[in-house]
Amino acid sequence: MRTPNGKVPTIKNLSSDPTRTRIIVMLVIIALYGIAAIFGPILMNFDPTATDLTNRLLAPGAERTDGTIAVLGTDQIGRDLLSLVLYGGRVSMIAGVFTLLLAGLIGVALGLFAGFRGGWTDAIIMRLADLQLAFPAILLAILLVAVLGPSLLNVILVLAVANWVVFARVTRAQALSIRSREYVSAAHTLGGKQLYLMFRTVLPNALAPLLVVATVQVGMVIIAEASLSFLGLGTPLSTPSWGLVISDGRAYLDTAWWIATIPGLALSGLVLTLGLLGDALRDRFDPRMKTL
Amino acid sequence: MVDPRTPLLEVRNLHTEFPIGSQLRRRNVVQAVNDVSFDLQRGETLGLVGESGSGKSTLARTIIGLDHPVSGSIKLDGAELVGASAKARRETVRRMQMVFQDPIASLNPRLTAEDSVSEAWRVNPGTVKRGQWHNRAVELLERVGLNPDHAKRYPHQFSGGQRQRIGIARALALDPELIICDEAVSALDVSVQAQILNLLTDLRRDFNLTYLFIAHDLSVVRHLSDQTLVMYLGAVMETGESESVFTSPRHPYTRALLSAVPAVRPWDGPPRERILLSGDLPSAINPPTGCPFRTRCWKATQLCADERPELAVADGTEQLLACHFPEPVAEAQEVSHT
Amino acid sequence: MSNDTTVHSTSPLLDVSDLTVEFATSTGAVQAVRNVSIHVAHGETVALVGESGSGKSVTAQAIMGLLPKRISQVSSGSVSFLEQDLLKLPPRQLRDLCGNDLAMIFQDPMSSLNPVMRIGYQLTESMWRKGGASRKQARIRAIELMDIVGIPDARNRVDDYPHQFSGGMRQRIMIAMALTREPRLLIADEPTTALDVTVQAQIMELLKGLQSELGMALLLISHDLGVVADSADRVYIMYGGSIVESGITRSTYENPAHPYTTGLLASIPSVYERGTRLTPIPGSPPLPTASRTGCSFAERCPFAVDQCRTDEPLLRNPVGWPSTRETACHRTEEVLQHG
Repeated sequence: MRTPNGKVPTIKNLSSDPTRTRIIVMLVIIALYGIAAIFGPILMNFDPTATDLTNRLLAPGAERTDGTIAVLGTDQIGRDLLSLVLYGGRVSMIAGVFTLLLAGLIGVALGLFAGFRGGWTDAIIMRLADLQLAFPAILLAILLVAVLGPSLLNVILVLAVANWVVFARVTRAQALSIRSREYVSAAHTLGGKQLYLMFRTVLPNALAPLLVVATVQVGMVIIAEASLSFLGLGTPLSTPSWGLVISDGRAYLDTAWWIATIPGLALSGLVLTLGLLGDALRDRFDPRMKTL
Repeated sequence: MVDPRTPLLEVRNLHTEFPIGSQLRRRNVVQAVNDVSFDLQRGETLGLVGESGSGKSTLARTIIGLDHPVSGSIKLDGAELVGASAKARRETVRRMQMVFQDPIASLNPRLTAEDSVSEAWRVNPGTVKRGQWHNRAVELLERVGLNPDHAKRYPHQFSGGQRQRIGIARALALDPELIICDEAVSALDVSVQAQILNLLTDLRRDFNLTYLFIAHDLSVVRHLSDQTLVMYLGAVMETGESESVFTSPRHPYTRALLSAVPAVRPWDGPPRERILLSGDLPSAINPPTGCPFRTRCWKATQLCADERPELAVADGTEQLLACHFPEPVAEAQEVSHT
Repeated sequence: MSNDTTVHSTSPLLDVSDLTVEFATSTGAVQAVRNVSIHVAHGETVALVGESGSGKSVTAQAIMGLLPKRISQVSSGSVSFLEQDLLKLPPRQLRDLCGNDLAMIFQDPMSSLNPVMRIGYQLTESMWRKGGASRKQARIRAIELMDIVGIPDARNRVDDYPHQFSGGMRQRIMIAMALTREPRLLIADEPTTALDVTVQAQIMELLKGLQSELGMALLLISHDLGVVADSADRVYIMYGGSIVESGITRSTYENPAHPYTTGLLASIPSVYERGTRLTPIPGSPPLPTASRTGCSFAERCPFAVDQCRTDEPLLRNPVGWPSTRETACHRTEEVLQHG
């Protein structure tokens, strides 16, 4: 950079501190969600199947017949909305985390094999992935619900099957680029066998983009679970998730807007935070990945 | 008891090729190593020289097992490696190791210095007891010129020379007899290169090592090697005692190669003859018939195209060369160049 | 070695004076180049020698205005070329100068050539865009240039893409591109480092030939003392961002006046005889640091005394030596005696 008019321009300090702050803030928010989801329903002594029709459709802040305040209102069968949101959070987060674990495990393993081995292994796994992507997840969900009935487990299964591909693809790309690096050759020369090289040498170095993908996927899975529940293809009525509550609240949008809106806000908040966390992680690990 | 005259490493008629394009449909193939044979005696250092496309790196990788030959034989102390079972191959790991070129890429960024070294024992259970890993690793790191407090640091915290030292310590971890140095000093600054060369010299003496030293820098090869082998387009052009090859190169390519090395003090002594090769390296997919060097050789004739010259001794010197028209023996030109 | 040392005019073609370049890092600004002054006369070949972190490439980039904008700046000094301060030129005029009277070639030809454009187009672009030539004339000139730099079958290869050429050929193409407007000064930043030694020899011969034909000056940046010995009239040795020694090449190599130069020469193995042991310089080349007291070489220097660690030595002309010789060392006299 030249100094055209003699003035010396200042150079801003390149610091990674703003990114670290972002990551910490996001993690704190998610942790709060988590704590609320785990302990909230216990503290509130919540029973999702109990109905209280005398206290139904109460506005946020209104008083119940027994004198307690319904902080966020009640729904159409009298359930406390605050408890519903907390309980629903638990369902959504369980669905998110377990789906991620299952999809991640399957996807990363398949991606590693495909990328590391190459050849026919790669070809077969990638065609499998293409097949998966071509198949609409909704159909699978309908099929499973029809056959097995609605349950949280089925939701997790469906979403895992629908989402493993992105993990496989990212892992495969990483494996392809890492496997020819000299330190992998070095480990091989020292006597490392295939599985060791894949899981102990390549995989730990492939984690950075996977972390980013994972945070974004969790958010998408939570939305997907909510959508499935919204359509009646998700958790049963006895296990209220945010999607279910939102769905129920549809009919009351003009009279009791809080039933659909408040869980909706909670859902958006969590997914947004996860997305921003993913962004910050990506920036932290490799600013050149901004185009991903 | 192994016959002490058995070479530690015997390579015969080795061929390695790579498909171009899709691995599934083998159409075009690169002849990376084309009928290479040589011996490496215990305790010797063989310098493998060549330019890009010569196949020297592929040869190294094939010997160490990272690439697989199409045909030929590699014998380590009499035991055949090509086609050997995985178990048999694993035995050789303890006898033959490698130091890689790129100090940054050859270390796993997630392993500390001592972990990089102890990985050798991790993947070979039974060689060193787990409780001893730390001490043995630190010992090795000190042996290559690092401090104990370097042991817990990560690769990015070291300089290029230090990383290369870690790579050398790692190669020594399994107590090998043969170490293949694949351009081990090429990526280092001149002043650091000298340190590592001295280190390699000391280790050779202390551990009774045999080196297969691959480099493109001729001065480095001359400094370290007893024997020198010159490769071009996958084939051996000339091989023999370094003294002989460097002072009296008989193969036209070797002569051209040596004449191209710039002298640090060109004003000392008479002006050297500069042989400038014409043309480019021919394609490795379709190597020239007969002698691979003929397309750029000023002496090439039809014979060179029809018949690939065999590796044989030429009158007047001891080294082997593959040429129909060897260069004359050089007069003793003991001019002091540095 | 050197071919034409006659100077065409008394004022230097390129005069870099007291150049300092700063880079931004997470810990503050560091100086990659400090108070560097070099000059190149018309038709001369001057080399800038150093290892990593010496600042030689940054110096070249500063001259050409190629420093990365957001994270670096020239904090002081001037770069005078043909009597104009390049640092003060508005961007348009600098662009006109570069590629015209001042040209540069780089280490890796593949990254300087656009992989999706034909060679002919890349060679001729500046001709018909800036030079006012017609496309046809430019094409003829391109083929001419390719012939001059030794690309066989130029007529047919002018429409090929970069990947269809070998490394050595691509470097020749880069040289051809640099020559299109017959520059007065060519800056070559490690032009042969990525090339095989036989190709390196060809390229250096080519450059020398072109120099004598065109009367072009060459600023050669390299870490290879041999290449420099072969081609350069004068040499500047850089270490840790500053010039530590300079002078006529032969004189500097035969009688180094700085411990770094001595050390460097002693650590190079010879292709002419097999030595037993090299004398390396202990430690490693320094990274650019924000603060520096005393001589940056002191910690690796066998001649260092206390003064070296507190007072930074300035470039001076050792007593009894011609004015072309300069060294930045407190212990020069001892080095000249023993080194």
